[in-house]
Amino acid sequence: MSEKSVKWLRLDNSAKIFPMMADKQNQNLFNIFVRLNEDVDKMVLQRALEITIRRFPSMNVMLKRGVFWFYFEEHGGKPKVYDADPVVMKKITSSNCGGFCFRISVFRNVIFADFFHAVTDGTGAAEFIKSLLFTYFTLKGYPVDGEQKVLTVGSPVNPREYEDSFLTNYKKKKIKDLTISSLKGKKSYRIDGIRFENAGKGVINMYTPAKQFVNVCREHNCTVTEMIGALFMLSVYETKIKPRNLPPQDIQLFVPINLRKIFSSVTLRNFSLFSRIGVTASDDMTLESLTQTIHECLKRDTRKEVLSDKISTTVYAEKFLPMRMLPLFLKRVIFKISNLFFGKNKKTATFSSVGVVSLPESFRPYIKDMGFGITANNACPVTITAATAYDTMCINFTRTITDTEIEKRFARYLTDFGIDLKVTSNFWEVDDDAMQIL
Amino acid sequence: MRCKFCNVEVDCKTHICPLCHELLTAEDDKEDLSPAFPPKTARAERRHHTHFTATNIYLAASFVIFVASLAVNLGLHQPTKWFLMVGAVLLYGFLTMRNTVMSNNSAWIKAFWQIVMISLILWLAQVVFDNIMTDTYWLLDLALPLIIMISVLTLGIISCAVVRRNKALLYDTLFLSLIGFVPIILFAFGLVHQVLASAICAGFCAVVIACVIIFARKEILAEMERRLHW
Repeated sequence: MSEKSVKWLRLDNSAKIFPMMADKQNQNLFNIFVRLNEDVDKMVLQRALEITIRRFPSMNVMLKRGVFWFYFEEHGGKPKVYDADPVVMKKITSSNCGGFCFRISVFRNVIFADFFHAVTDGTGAAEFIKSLLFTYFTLKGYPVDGEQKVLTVGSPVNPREYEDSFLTNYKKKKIKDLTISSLKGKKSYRIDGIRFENAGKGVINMYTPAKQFVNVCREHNCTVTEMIGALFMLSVYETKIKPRNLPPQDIQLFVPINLRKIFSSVTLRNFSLFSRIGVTASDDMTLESLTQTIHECLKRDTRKEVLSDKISTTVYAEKFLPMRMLPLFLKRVIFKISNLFFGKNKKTATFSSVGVVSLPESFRPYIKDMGFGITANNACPVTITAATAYDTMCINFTRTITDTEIEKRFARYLTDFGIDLKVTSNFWEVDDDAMQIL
Repeated sequence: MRCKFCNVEVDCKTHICPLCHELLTAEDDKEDLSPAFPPKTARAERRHHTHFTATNIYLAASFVIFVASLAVNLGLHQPTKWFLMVGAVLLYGFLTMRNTVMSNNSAWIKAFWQIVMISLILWLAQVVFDNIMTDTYWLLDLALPLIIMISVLTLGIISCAVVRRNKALLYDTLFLSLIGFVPIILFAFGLVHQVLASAICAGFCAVVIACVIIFARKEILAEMERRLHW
């Protein structure tokens, strides 16, 4: 069995900001949920988790506070499998997750894995979950094979898996050559609505056959990401802006870009940047014009030289001497104040298109479907995520507002295209009493 | 189950459509479905929406006690303003709960704030009960070195007890021991008049520092590298 431990790790460039921005209410979390074809055996999953965690030294850590920066220290304990909480993506704290920066929980046939973004991003988390599932199925005695798609517990740990790929790809530049403006956003429409009174979030998952969706995209000459992004923008406009006759508003989507393929990285830590896709909402918007805009924005923002410049800019900020010398508590104050004044209303929603999760064929009989979700907060009340596992695409909506108008309109667009939709929800917007009466 | 209004299949156990919230008719219920998420329980909601947190209860109780003591103290025309001490102790309890019990701060930072808070309470006691000691310098001359020594000794014993599990506490002991030189520095500046306790405190802390460096220098260096990385 390959086991590797790291005594401590610096937070990667992108992760540094997440613990500093976390407060009582908000924390940058995302989750992966896997629906199995049978109920999860919690005891076996617990054993699988204890085995799997040893293969992932960058996950087997706890967040600590240094004098100048946060850092990760090797966690000596064992992670625990919890019963899923009704509150989706509940804040991860040292007390409710045993000091780990992730939480594995189960509810009947569903495995929920919540991650604090400081420890990894969607790609790293997916690798961890694949490995966990492989160990779980093996312990259950199912005939599964990694098929070179899973980091199995026996495979050697590549030190590049826990490198900070931002630093690896950083090219030193002069301050005048940095593209600071590319990281700034402009004021955009913020989705409004009645917020949940409690800390919970509403979740709606839409499952659709991936082939049907791809065929519709082909008919419209666009990619899946462009189609979902465009339909979401149209849904926001139709349900939130148009009915109220609001003056022209910019709808801006925050789209994470996975940098691993572009920069040949195998890191399991954060390695993504964001693209901002903005349009001025009006009646002239059509599906075609929106897919075209998204296509152009993504083409512009995924050029290697543009991304390289952005990496240099973000790493420069980290290496900037006055920034480094500031004690952590002062850094936190500065980040929070700057976020208060400059961070608000810079995006309408976050849209993450994870793409196809490469699962081994031998897992197919045991997995029903799989999806991703990103936490929503007051600054960004609705998030949307799309991921495909085998033949099923899962489109996840997470929101902090009670109404489901955007999701309803989005679903209407898909069904009008002839796409079959299966929908699930946590019904957070419905009263307990109403649910029981019904 | 299918919602005829939204034209979608509902893939979880429910009687209403997740999108439009219209009732799903009984004849649609052909499958044996399970809920997709844990059911929202009143308990879960209460946990996230309660005003009756330990902090709020403590604050309310403290306020009542303080107001009552203020009323009794002033109402009886007592010359000693002991209600100030009551307020200070209640405030100390609150800060201890927030900054020591419920905080993720390092042990030495928690101990440091305890030293500061206890010293301030003693100073306030000196001001309020100005007749308890004729020598007004007892606080800096005697109490402060004693509090520091007790803190260092307590943290040192805890460090030794859990050294195998938590080596970081050795680093905390080392840092806290540095505070042991504060009374002797105050003496150098003429703020302390009796040197004996300050000298004992400095000597005690020097011994602790020496022991930590001799027996655990590798761990201390590793811990410093982590905590001071920039």
